[in-house]
Amino acid sequence: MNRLAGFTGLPAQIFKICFIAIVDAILIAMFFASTHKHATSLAIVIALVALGANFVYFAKFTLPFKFLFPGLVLLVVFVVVPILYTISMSAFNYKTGNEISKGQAITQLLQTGLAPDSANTTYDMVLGKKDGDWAALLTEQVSHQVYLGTLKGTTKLEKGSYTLNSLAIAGATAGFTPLTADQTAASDSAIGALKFPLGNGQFIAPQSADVAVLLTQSLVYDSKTDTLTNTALNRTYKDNGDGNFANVKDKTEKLLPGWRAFNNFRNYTHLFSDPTVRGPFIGVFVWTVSFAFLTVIMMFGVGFLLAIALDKKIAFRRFYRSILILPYAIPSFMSILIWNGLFNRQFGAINGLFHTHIDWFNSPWLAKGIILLVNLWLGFPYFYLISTGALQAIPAELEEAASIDGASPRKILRLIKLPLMLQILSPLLISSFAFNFNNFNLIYLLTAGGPTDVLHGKTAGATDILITYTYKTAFGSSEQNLGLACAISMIMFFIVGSLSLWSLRRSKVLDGF
Amino acid sequence: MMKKRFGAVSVIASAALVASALLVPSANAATKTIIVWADEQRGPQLTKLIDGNTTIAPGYKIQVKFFSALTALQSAWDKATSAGGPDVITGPASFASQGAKSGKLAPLPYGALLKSQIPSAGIAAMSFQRKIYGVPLDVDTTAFLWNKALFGASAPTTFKAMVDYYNANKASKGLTGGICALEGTWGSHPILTALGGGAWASKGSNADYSKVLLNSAALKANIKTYLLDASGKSNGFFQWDGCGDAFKAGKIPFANTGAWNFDGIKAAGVNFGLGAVPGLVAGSYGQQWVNYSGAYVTTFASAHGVDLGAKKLVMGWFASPEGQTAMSLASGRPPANRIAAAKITDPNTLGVATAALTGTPQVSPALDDKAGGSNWYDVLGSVYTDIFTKGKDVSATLDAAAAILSKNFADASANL
Repeated sequence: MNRLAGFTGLPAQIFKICFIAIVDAILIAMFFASTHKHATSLAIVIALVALGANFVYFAKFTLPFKFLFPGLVLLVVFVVVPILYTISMSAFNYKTGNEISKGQAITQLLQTGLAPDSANTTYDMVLGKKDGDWAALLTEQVSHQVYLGTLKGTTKLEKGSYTLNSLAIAGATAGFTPLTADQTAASDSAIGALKFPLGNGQFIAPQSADVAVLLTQSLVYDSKTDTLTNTALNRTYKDNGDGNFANVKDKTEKLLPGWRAFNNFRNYTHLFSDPTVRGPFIGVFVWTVSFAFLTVIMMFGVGFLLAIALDKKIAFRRFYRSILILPYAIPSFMSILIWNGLFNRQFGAINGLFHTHIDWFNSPWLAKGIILLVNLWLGFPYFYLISTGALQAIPAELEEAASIDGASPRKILRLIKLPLMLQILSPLLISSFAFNFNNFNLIYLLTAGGPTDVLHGKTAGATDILITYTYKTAFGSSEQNLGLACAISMIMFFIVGSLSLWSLRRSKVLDGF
Repeated sequence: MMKKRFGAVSVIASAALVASALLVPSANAATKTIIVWADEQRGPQLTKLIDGNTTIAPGYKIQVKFFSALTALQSAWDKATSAGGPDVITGPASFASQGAKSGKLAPLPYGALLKSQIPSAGIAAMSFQRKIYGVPLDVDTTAFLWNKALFGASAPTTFKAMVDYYNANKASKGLTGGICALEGTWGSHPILTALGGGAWASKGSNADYSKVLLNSAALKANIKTYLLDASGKSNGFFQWDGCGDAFKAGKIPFANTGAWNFDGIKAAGVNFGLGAVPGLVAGSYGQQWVNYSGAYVTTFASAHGVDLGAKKLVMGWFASPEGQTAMSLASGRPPANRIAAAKITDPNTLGVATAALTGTPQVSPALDDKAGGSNWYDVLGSVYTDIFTKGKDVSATLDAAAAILSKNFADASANL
């Protein structure tokens, strides 16, 4: 009898209310934290999840949803959203220098367009209010001349019209009320935007709570024409449609930062049309397919042969079976790092054992061989296990009948056992192919995708597979191309997704649905 | 029935609100907090010096958050947005160009006083497209170390003296190398320059990016003379990959590394002297990369409403003689501020500062550029592998590398 069957009535209601209250508390806390961090989208998602959870668990007609809701939420948040985000970003020029929005980029460019004068004139500043408006007492650091800055203009103060404070800078004048530190901090954003005009396009702007500098706005934005003009150099920059303002007379001169701009899925066309991207991509793609195919064939071959060998009753069979599982029992990242050390040119045990100085990881073919060997070590126990299981599922009568008919053991293996095994194990072989297609850990920990023939213009390593190449493209250096990495990820997604679907159909797992 | 249901809902809502009030971080308390990000080296030092401080930027509280490694800091910084990003970040000079390009760093107009205290190379390291994005904190460079127990109390005077010592004692003392660049390709620059090579040439006091020095005739000849044997294979003198333990074990007599490794080397029992990598003639030296670590105000500070406080912290403490003296005492790195630098008394810090005098500015945008296919560090790694491991032709290898680098430097110099 189900133990929970008796958990009904008031105790169950109290438990449900407490549980939902805790979930709501966590979600409300997350909602407030998100709004506090100005993460509006996240806050909306959390609010929807909270409302959805309360609706599902308190409405009477949503019984199936009570079981599906947590899984569906996690599926949407951790699978569907990242996929949609990756698809959308693959259509954008999203790379180092093109990461923020256009509005943010314009704000930032206008900031960089603020130029100090040649003497870097700096003022010690006391902020305050005069006639209810922002004002500042400004003491020039070199000449010690004092000015009163207001939003209307800046005026020179004569000695005697102000008094010095304990830091020997102007701290008070008639009608001026200085701000306290807390008041200044509370108005941080407003003060940061203040400009005390000096005439001739110059103004004094606060740089911290007590220092201001003399600046000129050399870059001006015209929202009507969507252009930026450098007034000092008399250059005009226009939106080039690819996420940057570019000089209208020299389009190679671009202003940075740019913004994340929609580029009509050019990341995909670049993969096949741009030789600097196409060359490495095709090479990496061919090796990825070869590696995934070869490694599965090798692992299955060795696992199957061992299963056949140990299918017979031989001495110490249990011991052999136990020992064969060991490579599978050790965490793979540890095994990979140990193999990496064993093949080290200078200190590795392999070279030490044979008194050689072979540079295993700097030869493309040797490195590829090592990858296949190490993955064979890591993967054959799995195929040994499933082959053993599959062999035991083949009716003994088939082998017996074939023997009586005069078939040799080799013929029985080739014509009876292997075809039957392949029929049983095909879905697992296909899923293993898909897994190895994305076997990031093996490549990254063993060879890091290398060796890379940098001096002959190669940008992808000889052992890079698509997933490591994508990682390098996205995060591998200070120049990141996230849009291109997203496009490669989508191609991988469709390949692996298609294989998985094919595998599921072949295994008829979905037939019952 | 409906009443019961409303009752349950109101109980839940009340309980949830009370519980969430306990869980939510105090929004008001965090409003005027300046968040500073640092790596695992500066982080603990900054925590000790300024975490919780409310006097450096009155009206603001400073909170230091540090990461387990520079790579972790870089990774978090790459992904940072105004939602969770820092107001101030400390890190290598390469952050300046990367942050400027991505729009994550705010430009910092220097005052006249500050400008007079910071060396022009330090300001250049913090600049991108002629705008300054940070203040240099300390000199991030390496120095030459020699094992006194092996080579003796006095420093070698020429490169040849080091190679001769290695060849003479290789077998008897079980040496596994002559000189070790502990920081790999970055730390090997003084060795390259001591042999007449390097990244780019100089025109007066400025860099000449149009002339790549990696394939200079002098370097080609000197590699063959000092680093290869008669058959054209590596003589084992030059080590750049995983050789630190051998130096600590007394199996390599010379090394090039930074202050961050000195404690570990001392702990291993190595009695070392400090200087600059000796050149081909007595009195000449290889040039270290002289870089600066910086403190930067992010554009997120403005979104968080702490922009003025963050700038006060960076310009008023990180850049100041007081702030840099305190950091130097904690880190052992030479400060960038001239007034703070004049106050150094620690011999190791002084040694690194002296070595830096023979250095050359590490211009990150040029070294990180990969318009030619790969950046300086990857190209140099391939050069070392091809020449010293695979035994490929020196001249052809260096020429191929120079062809890539000339494209990189031409591209980068347009933005400097």
